[in-house]
Amino acid sequence: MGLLPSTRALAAAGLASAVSCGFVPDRPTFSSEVSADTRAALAEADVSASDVAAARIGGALELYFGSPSAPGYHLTDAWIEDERDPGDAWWELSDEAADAVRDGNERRFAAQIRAVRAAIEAGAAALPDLPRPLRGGEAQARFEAAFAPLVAGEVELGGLHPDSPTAADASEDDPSFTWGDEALRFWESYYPTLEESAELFRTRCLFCHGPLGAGDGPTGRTLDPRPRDLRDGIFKWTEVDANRRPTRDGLVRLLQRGVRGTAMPAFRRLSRGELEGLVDWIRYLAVRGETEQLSTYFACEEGDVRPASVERAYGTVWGRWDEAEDHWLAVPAGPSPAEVTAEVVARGAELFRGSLANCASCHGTNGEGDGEAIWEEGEEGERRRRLDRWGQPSHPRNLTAGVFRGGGRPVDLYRRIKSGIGGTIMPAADASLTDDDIWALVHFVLSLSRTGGEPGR
Amino acid sequence: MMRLVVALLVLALGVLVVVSMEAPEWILAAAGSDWFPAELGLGAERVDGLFDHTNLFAAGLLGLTFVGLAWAVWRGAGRRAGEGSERSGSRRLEVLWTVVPAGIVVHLTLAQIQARDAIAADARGGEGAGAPLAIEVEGVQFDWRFTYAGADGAFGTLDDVTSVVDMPVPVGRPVELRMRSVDVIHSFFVPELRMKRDVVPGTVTPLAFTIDAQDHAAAGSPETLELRCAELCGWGHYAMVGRLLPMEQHAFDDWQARAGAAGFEAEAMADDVEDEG
Ligand code: HEC
Ligand code: HEC
Ligand SMILES: [Cu+2]
Repeated sequence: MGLLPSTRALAAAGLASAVSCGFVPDRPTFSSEVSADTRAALAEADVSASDVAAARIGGALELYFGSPSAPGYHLTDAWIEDERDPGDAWWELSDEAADAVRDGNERRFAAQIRAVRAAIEAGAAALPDLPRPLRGGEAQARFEAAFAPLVAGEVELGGLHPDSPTAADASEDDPSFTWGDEALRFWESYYPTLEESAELFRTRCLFCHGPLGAGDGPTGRTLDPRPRDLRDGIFKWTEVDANRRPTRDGLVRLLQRGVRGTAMPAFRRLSRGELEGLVDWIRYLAVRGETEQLSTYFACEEGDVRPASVERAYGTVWGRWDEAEDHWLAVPAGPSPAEVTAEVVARGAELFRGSLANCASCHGTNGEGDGEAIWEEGEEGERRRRLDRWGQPSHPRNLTAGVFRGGGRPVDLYRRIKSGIGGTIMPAADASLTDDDIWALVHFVLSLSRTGGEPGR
Repeated sequence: MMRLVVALLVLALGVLVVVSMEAPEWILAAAGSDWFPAELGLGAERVDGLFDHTNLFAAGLLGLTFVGLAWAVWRGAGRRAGEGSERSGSRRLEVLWTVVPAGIVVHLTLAQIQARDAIAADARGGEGAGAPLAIEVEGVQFDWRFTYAGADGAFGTLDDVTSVVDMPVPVGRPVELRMRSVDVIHSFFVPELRMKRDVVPGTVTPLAFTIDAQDHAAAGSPETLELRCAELCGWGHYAMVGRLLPMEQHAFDDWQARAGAAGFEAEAMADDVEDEG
């Protein structure tokens, strides 16, 4: 009988000790407050009543993006005309990506699809339950709304769906379909809404990247390198010219392979649909963050928050994301493994240390990451490392370790060297370097960590 | 009377415990299902055999202990309450309870040594198995990464192929892992193979296994097996799950060739895709 109070006392003591160790993480909040950076910029600039200005920018963000717990995009007139809604990105996927999403769904929802098929065959009315992570959420509501008459037992799985052409109207292009077909379609071409993707981000990414993607999650604060601030729209390991917005497929591949040598894990076990949804959410956070930054910039310039300027910022930022594919960096054919001779590597070494490519200035003569060009004079005259876009000190990679964050294949390194690394001090290769020069650099870099069949690293 | 009731209760408890150690496997087997995941690795049945064997001894010994306990409760105490009976210096008993457990322990030790060697031999595919496939495994908080030697069979050359999370392996061919850890201790664990081994930083840990082609087919040719980290390695330990992908040798060769070549191929925008849009 004395058990209960004493367990309670024990639990309380445990809790107290956890508190006193300071191990209780902050509870990140979802809010559409503007960031501290925005407040600081407005306060510093010549903006009248900066508090009011900040509140107006916050209000504008809510208007354009909803709140992070009820996200959505404000549709511009042009989109309405084109029937485009970036909040429902299913329609933006390439055919290949759409097929990959369907393939992934067939595996992820195999149990549901099988159950619907069995129910159709048995002439049963019951529908299968949603898989656990989706149960009770937004998806459940969507599902119930779509199949309400079925759930209520008013119609049968074999009955004609109201959206279907009747038997008389049906044609080969537009065949009739039943409630059962519709239920199968629901699972086979399932695509997460922004809200569902936000939920996935909340469980898988938030503790590092933070609720609004600022890279300030409770775990993220102790990491080196810090998790990316996703509100910037600037990424390092892309397939586009540096500092351009990444392509959808590029981001999916990034999530699948993770960032080797950092805390960023590989999310290869997520289905393609989930990954595409996460890309939607990354884009949401970025477009929102960039719009906030640009609106703040305009407000500082103009001394006031003008609705027209916020709208201009929204349009400009979307322009950047919409042209991502145009800046995709094609990789020309390079030498095959057999063609990578000692001469190619020697040519790469010469370029690496030469003044045109000038890699050695940062990476050091032997590629150990100990070059001189990374140092600068700080505010108090001290010698300090140059900072990257996010205020972190630069550490040029030690290329002899053979750990490449953006991927270690020759094509990955080609892109890295050709376009530089977004947000960091590593510049794009000099335009006068030819494709062959870049390939030579790639193979010199790879040779630094290659053991040539000898065991051990 | 009271004593007899307590003794019977003790006995009942003993039966319950012993049965619960052995029964689930029998019941599930009778229902046509498995207590353990499928045995897909060569030598896996030896691990299960060893488990069952050890379990049987443990259950038997525990059963005997309960019987002794019940007997002690019923007959061992003195006739009147509060009055114990005393025994000392029984050489026969001393010898019995030293020799019997020692014999059991020696027996189990020998059985394990034998099983360990047999499993190691089986895992290498036994006699006449082809050359093993070497794979370098890197455990890192919180991912599994793999390096394959590529067509030339040598590591540290340009045609090496790397993979993260997914670990394709040919069915029926011996595989030899060389495992390293970048940070803390991880543990490579694939339940279906009955293989689990710690991956310790600062050293290369070998581990060999072979997926039994027949067992794999009999189990419905599963395309993925979970590879878990079985050593608590930090906050992301729960998510440190890879996938072993058993496939036919030719499918594996295709995969390796394609993945290797992809790193060298030109990547251009497909024109026809744009035209169609
Ligand atoms: C354990 C912490 C952690 C978790 C969890 C995590 N990330 Fe990251 N992420 C990082 C770190 C650290 C980086 C920075 C890597 C670098 O600078 O090279 C990063 C970088 C990124 C980048 C930028 C890559 C680039 O090209 O610059 C994206 C996008 C990203 N993460 C998305 C996600 C998403 C989506 C999730 C959840 C599915 C996630 N991350 C989960 C730590 C994490
Ligand atoms: C101004 C300094 C600077 C110069 C010049 C420079 N780099 Fe870098 N490089 C860096 C920094 C800093 C990083 C690390 C970026 C990061 O991870 O945030 C880096 C990273 C790299 C990487 C690692 C990429 C990966 O995927 O992990 C390679 C490879 C590389 N540089 C090659 C080169 C080559 C080749 C050149 C010459 C053409 C060059 N760098 C010139 C600063 C420089
Ligand atoms: Cu681990």
